[in-house]
Amino acid sequence: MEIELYGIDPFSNDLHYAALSLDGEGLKNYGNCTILLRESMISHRATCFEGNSAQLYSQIHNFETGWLSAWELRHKLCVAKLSLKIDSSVTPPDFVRMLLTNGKTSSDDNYVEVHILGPMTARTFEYITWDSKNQDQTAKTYWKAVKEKLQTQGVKVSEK
Amino acid sequence: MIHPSKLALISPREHVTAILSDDRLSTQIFDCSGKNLGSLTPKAYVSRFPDTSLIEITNQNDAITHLKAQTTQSMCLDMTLMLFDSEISFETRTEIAQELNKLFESEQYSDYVLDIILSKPLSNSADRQGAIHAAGALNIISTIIQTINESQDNLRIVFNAWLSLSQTDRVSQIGLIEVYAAFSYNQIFRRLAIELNDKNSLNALTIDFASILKKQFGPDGSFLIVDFMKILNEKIPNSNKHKVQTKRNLTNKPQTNTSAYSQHHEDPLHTTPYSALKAAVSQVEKIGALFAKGKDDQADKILGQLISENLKHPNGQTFAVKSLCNVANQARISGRDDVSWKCLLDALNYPDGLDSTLYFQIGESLRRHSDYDKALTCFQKAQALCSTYDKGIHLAAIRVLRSQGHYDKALFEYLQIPTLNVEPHALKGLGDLYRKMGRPNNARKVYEKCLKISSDLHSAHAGLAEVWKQKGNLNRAIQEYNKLFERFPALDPGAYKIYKLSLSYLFRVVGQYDRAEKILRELENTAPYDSNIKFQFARLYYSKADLQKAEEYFQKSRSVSDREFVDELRQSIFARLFEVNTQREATLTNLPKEIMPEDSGLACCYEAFSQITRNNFADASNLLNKAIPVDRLISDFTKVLQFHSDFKREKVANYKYSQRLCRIVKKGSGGDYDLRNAIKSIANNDFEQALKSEKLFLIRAA
Repeated sequence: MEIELYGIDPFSNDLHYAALSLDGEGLKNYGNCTILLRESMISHRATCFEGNSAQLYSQIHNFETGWLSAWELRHKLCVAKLSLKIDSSVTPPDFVRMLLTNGKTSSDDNYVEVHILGPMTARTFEYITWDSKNQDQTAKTYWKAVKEKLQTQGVKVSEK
Repeated sequence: MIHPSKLALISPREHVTAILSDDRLSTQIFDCSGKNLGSLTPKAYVSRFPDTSLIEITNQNDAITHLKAQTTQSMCLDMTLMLFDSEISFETRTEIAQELNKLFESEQYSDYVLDIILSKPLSNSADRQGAIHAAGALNIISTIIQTINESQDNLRIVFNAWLSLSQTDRVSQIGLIEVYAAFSYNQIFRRLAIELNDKNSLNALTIDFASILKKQFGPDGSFLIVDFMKILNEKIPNSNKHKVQTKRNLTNKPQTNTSAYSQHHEDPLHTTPYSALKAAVSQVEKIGALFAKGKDDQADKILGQLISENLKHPNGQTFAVKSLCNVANQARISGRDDVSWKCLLDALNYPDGLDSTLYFQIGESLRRHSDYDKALTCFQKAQALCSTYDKGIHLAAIRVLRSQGHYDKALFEYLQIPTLNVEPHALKGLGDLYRKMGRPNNARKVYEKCLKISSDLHSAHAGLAEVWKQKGNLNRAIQEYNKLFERFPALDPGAYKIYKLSLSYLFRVVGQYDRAEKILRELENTAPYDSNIKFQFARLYYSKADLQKAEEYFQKSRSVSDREFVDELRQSIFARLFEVNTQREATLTNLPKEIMPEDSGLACCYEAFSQITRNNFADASNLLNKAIPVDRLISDFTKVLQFHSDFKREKVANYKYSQRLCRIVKKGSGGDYDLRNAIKSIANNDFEQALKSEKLFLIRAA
């Protein structure tokens, strides 16, 4: 699928998927941890896609009809995707859930996907939220160590 | 009644598993807690979760248990490394040690962690003392930390040896990632880290490792281990008695018992398996070198000794066949086809040792002699003798299609290889095919992709040089070859000869005869019985108009290779392999029966040139209209001959009407000025001079 999207780009084997979010809330179906990325570290290598690319690819096996935009033009992609849902009753706080909605399963999620080419390090992360609900003692200990490690790299961390 | 098993896809990184329905058309996805997350088609699932493995299960709980185990394995590895991390507080590390102590009660986790951690040394910044303190008196984790710490000296030596091995051609041919994964997965690094005490301990491990890797990579696997152990042997200091107290309970592979083997070999050379393998390799190299120099009697004598030595072993016939195959390979590289075929024939005298490698090698030799159908039969037999799908044999069968000129079929087969995009050798083959199909731009892209995966694959670099040649930029092609020789100073003799011959051809075509001759002289010194080198000499002297020397070398090229003898051997080998009665075919019937597609352009030019010399311009024109040259230089020549015949038929008056002809006149064609001279002579009505220039070009390019 990555080859379909980015051909033989040297970083197409190192493609990371993310989602646009207005309030820092992530897609919960993918795990109990949300990472907010540092814009200055990804804006030059990020591309936005109208939705879940894996789902689209499994349905039509190509990306000819999918909408893509450069990072700087993501607002235009969002307008193109969501304009029909906006009327006089919609207020700015509604935009948050309009842009990213967590569904029952990951296939029901609605979001604008972001493709980031190239490697990620702790310097790429700005803020990390971890949900400790339903986690066992081993996972909690593991998270405690990860948290300490991240804090030494200047990453802000919080736990729900 | 046997209960039909189910299949599940496990994705530990995403903490999900998918159970395939009985019709395999859909999946139900579950997380670690067993919560149903929905349904997807298998294809969609794999697209979304690429790091997925497929396992057999009996029920849903089984899949979730596997998922939990694999997720926990990965977490155990991270947590063990965290114990050595000084940026994590001592208090947290103590908590981690307690958790790990519980988890490592299951050997499945500790084995996985040791396999990975003992594959390379810890970084210099690892806080080893901190890890020991954090582990404290917790028995399981403290034993593991102690083992990791005590293995570091060995690991540095082993890793150093690995770095040297990774630079070798054999590794780049198999693939760096594949070899590293095989070493890790088969616990070669781990066992060396724990069991290596001194140089003598290498011998015990060699035969064990060789047999493991042979199953995975064929004979190359054994040679890989021999190379590795040779390097390792040099890296271990003589006085080195490692401090490691061997913890055999931490290596879950059976230990090698070499005493039984040693009893069979009282000869000092063969007292241990390692030295036996090492001695056999060096003997094969020696025999190959003697055959290359024409010292057949001496070589035969040593080969006889080697075979009788092999036969003393309980699996002697297997070893004898291997030795003969290796000598056959060495002889082929040095241009001694007669010896190569004879060795393969001799190998058939040991029926208990016949294996897929022998059939593969005979198939390859038959392919090189254009016996394509028989070659395919051998490859089928070789595949049948392999327990699993062998990519090498599949690629060899594709090469047969390519050699038969069935390029579309070969292209179809290449594109069917599921792992094509990550297989550098298959990609390189595809690049070669595109070149032959006259699609140099496609070829260039494929070679570049191949080099991104494996930058050490010299044949892909050579392929790029050939692309430049095909595009008519001969000087750039020469530059690429020169770069290749700088980058790979220790090429294997076969590849070295091929690339040097190509470079010599390029020098000849651009008129740098002295350089072309220098290369051929160097090659002739190392392989004085190589008919191909003699033939290249003949062509060089013909280009230099030294007809006497050209004739002399042409005769030499025919005499050094006893073609009839080789034909006879070939027929008899095939008859013995498949128990068929074959009649000796006439010598010439095995020459290529038709012109290969990529050569048809030059053949058309040659025929058209003959027609022009006989003033049959219309026939020449018809022939040239049918020509489909794949090479830029030949394509330019086609245009020049077309211009010649059209000019004579008064169909065209000025070469300036053709952009291509203008370009040739302006730049020459890839540094070749005969074509430019021919055009100018035609324009000046000097047809005698034009024919001379065209002939000169034909001689050089043919």
